[in-house]
Amino acid sequence: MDFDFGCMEPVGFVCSVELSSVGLWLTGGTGNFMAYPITLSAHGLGMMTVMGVVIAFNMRVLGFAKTISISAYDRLFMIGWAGFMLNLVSGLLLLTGYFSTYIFQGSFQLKIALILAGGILMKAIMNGIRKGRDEKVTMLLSVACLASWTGAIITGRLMAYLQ
Amino acid sequence: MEFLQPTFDWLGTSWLGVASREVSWIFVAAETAHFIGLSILFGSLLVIDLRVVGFARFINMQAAMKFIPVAMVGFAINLLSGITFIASNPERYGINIAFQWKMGLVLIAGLNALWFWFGEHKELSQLADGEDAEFRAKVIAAVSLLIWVVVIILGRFMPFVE
Repeated sequence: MDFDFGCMEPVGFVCSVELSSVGLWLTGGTGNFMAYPITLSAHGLGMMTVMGVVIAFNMRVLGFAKTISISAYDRLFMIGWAGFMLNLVSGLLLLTGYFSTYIFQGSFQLKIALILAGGILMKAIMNGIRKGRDEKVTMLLSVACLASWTGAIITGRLMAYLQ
Repeated sequence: MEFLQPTFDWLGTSWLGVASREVSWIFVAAETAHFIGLSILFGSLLVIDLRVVGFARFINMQAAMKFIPVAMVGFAINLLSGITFIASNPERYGINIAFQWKMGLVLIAGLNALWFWFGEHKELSQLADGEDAEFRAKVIAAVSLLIWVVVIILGRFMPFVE
């Protein structure tokens, strides 16, 4: 396996992060070559869990399987949050290891913006349902939410191809 | 998986194989579709299996069953995008140990799903909200979730065991 080190010396903040003990551990610089595949797998599993819950919930908001009460999704949200935490921790580890590559990458920046938008939209949808707001507005937010999370997956994939 | 290699080679020489190598965005689009397809499949299974296991027992069981065709749509997306991967590089996958285990587990997941459908589906559809499923059905649902978690992990490991 080849590992590219964007930074050669820990000069400046960006390279200090990348060449920190955590960064080096992730990229195999400490001799542990399983750290990266394990972290990447955890990131994939977390993403599937979050996205799975987002899809299942928004399909319900959009009128699919209407006999499921919204409150019945509470337990599913617990799983979704667990997936999100797994994604956050593994994502931060991946970011640390390739800080100089990702932090300046447009697709990474867009991915983070879409995740933030997706999260805010999920909260807005829940608030809309709890407060009994106009169903059409909630459904519109739901479509936007699905689009945001789908966009996050697309931009996440593009990170491997665009510099 | 040597017995499948002639099929993989045929896929490699097909129009799909040629197109996926010559048109740069096809492979990337297939990868993205694979992630989205798996999310649709896994999300649907979370609804169904977590209801059956009892973790989300207040999800209406009959409504949860409506996610079965959705899961099948997710699986179909994954099957088509997965075939595109093989067609793009037929030499790469058959010899990959993570791919072999992944395919084996997908096959077991399929058999498990058939057992669920033919053995448990009717009885489960009659469960009231909050009512516990039979232990046997819970085991099938838990095995289903576990298999797909391992499938996701193995999929990510494939490039690292070449």
